[in-house]
Amino acid sequence: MKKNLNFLFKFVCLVLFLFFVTACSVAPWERGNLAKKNMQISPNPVRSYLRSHVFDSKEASSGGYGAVGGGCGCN
Amino acid sequence: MAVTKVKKKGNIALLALSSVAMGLPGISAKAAVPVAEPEANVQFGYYKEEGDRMEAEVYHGDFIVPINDFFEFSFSYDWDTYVGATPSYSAPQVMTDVVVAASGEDRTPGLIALDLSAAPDAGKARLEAIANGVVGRQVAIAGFEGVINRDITDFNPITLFQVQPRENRDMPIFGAKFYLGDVTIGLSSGVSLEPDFESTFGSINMGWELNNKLTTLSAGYGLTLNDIIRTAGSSGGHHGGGGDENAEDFTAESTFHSINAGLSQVMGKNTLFHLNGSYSNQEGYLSNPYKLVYVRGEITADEYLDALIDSFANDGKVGFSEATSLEAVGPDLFREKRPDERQQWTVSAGINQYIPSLDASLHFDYRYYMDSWDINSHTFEFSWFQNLPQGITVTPSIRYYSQSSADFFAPYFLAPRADGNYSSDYRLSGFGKLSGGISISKQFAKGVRLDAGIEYFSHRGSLKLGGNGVDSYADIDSYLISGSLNVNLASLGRATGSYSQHNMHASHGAHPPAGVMFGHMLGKAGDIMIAYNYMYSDWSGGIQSGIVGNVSEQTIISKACGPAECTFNPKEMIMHMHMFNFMYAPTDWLNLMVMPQILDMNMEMNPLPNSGEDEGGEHVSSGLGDTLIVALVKIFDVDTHHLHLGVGVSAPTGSIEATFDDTESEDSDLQSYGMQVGSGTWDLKPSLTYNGNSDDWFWGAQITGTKRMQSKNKLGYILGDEIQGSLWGGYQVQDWFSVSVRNIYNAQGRVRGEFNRIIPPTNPLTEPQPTSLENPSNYGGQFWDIGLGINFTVPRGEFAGHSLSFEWLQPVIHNYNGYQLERDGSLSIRWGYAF
Repeated sequence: MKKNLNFLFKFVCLVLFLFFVTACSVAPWERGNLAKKNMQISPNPVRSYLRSHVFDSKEASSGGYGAVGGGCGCN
Repeated sequence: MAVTKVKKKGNIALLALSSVAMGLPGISAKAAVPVAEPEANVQFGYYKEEGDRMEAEVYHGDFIVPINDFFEFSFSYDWDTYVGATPSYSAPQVMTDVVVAASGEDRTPGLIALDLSAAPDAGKARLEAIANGVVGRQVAIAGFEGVINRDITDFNPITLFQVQPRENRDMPIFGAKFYLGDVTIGLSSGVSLEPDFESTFGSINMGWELNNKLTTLSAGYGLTLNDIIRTAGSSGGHHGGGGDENAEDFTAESTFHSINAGLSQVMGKNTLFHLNGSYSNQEGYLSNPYKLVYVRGEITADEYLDALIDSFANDGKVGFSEATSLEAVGPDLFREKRPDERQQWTVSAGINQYIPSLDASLHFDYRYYMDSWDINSHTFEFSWFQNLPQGITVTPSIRYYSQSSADFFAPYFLAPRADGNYSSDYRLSGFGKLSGGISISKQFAKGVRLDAGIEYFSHRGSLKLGGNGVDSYADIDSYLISGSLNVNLASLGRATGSYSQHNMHASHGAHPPAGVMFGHMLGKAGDIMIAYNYMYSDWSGGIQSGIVGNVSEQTIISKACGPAECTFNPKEMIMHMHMFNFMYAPTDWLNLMVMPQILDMNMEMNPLPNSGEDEGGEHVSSGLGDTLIVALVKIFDVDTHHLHLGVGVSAPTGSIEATFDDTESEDSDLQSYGMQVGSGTWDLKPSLTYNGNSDDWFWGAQITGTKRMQSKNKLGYILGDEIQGSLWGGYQVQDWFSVSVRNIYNAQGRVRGEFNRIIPPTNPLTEPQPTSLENPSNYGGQFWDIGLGINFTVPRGEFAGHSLSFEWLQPVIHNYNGYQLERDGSLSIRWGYAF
């Protein structure tokens, strides 16, 4: 468990580091591509929910994307 | 009646949380959009495991509506139905006969062990001999040990399955979202209802846009309260080893708390990065009440013997509470037990990269998961969204998942564990899973999108990262198919506007009454219509024959069931039919239409005097029905007269294997012809429709038919052919309201052939009794009905193009083939939207 927590901590630090060194400014008129549907975190949320429903029913892990669903119905 | 039920209800909290989170500006790259536009989605999903394992149908519908500039409301409804075999437990090969004996009539663990060590009916005498010292205790114990502690040479386990009877789940969720400048607050709450698992959940989420909307922070909290209910004999366990018919009634609770925090960051004009973390704490009953484990040594031969001897003083009831805290269900077979607390952590990160030269987007996501049960997992996912001309997007994707096993998992246990926790649920084993899929999306103008996708999964012990996965006995392949329709109601309104007026005209004034199918065509090329039809039908009030009205019970007994005597009688049948209609006009003269349907039927039975029974029974069937695919061709279209021809095919997508025990197993007795949701045959559906209108009056006529194109379906029968004629007239009272009257004649043939699957009787007490429903001659007839209808349309404004119609069909004259329940009438409701 402790080893896992260490791994987690290092991973978060690495990601934050990458984030701060690379973040840059993008003017509002340059955000056209970012606004495209397929650039959204979940371009098809209804399908993402269905897939999460299957994964959560068949795997021991769950959650974590901030955009996953779950429930039951698959044995 | 679920067999395997401790599912990840905690995720429902996350779902609630995430359904709100997904709408948060920060979660979306379109951070500038203040309020979501009104939008609706419907989706169908089908999941299937290879062999006779689980299959599930998942239906989803939702809508989201902005109420004003800072508040929006959402609602979603999920309905799942699932059936199939699922692993119950596994055991060493050499112990198979011992543990499988546990599914016999007498499953008292010690007695089974004793019976195996002595002559079957000598058990009690032998016990008395032991208790009285006639047989030495050591001799008896040695006999027990010879059975329960056999040497194991082949460690490969054998897996025993249970059959999950068909079961449904309902899940409504309400949501509200408040937009307060850079801050968004979402609230959500819902319930998930199954016969043996009820879950109530709620969540609050916040999003905060900062750094000139380049950065968004989000945080949320979710609470889930679960009630687990297991009733005795509620698992259909007789199909597998170690069922639950001797199980005690049982209720338990669990509570999940989840928190979630996220960050999304614009990294450049083509790059979005996101990071998410979550923590969840689960407390209470976290085991699966239907999964079993084999544990050798949890009860020793000594303890088995003592418990049996004690049973003499306890009315023959054998208790093991002194020997174990586990619930014993067979020799060395127990209900699984998981820790009553679980803590879960996740971190995930993803990057979305737009590639301008290819007009494509690449998504890469990774998630790390770990929990206090010593499970950790890695998930990698890669998707390529390729935009193509004409609003088409093709998305191939690959996913790899690998997890380590829970510290209390094993296929079977050869010694007790110190902490008393055991599970052989392969979902807690170490394994890897590789999947690949492709989805296609087509964006139509006017805010309508269709999506379809398929994904194939390979679950393998050998695919686990770093090896040491569970053996191949748990390997399984499965697939998921889905299709969905997304409608942006606001862009529909913008796109149609005054056009909808034209559309109203083009569709011949008022719509035909709600019960008329294929009744009108779209006005011009490019038009689209989506519609939902609901039909409620009821049959009750006695058994009728021909045109004579109710017949006596004695006639039913002697004549309605053919050569056999009827012993039960149908009392009432109720049918709910949901039809979803998507129609598109590629040219002015041609419309194409797809119509899937869902049926839900309920049949109540009464005993006849010769049955010797006091109480009746009830059975149900439900699921996806047959799917209609129709082409409508315009024949002529002048000012007041419109005629079109329909050529349709009905595809046999509905099941014809509904059984009385809901397992849909080939070994179970089939429900009657009328209770099957499908026809089992490809059918031809021609139609010819005339519509006329003048000033405020409208009228029409239609003839439709159903011709079975096969001589029998796979179960050896076909439903009768059908022909229907319909004549109607109506008056447009206001531009938004009309009334109609319709006269309908319908003739249907009897069922031809009969079920070719005969199940030999095993237990006369539980066998289905002969009823008139099983006789193919008691189907079809001639029927005259009168229909009274009202129709509302929205002629202008933001919701122009919507229509809502109701029609009640009242039976007037009938001529039943054979002996049938009286028709009480039916109600049709249709919502349609043409644009």
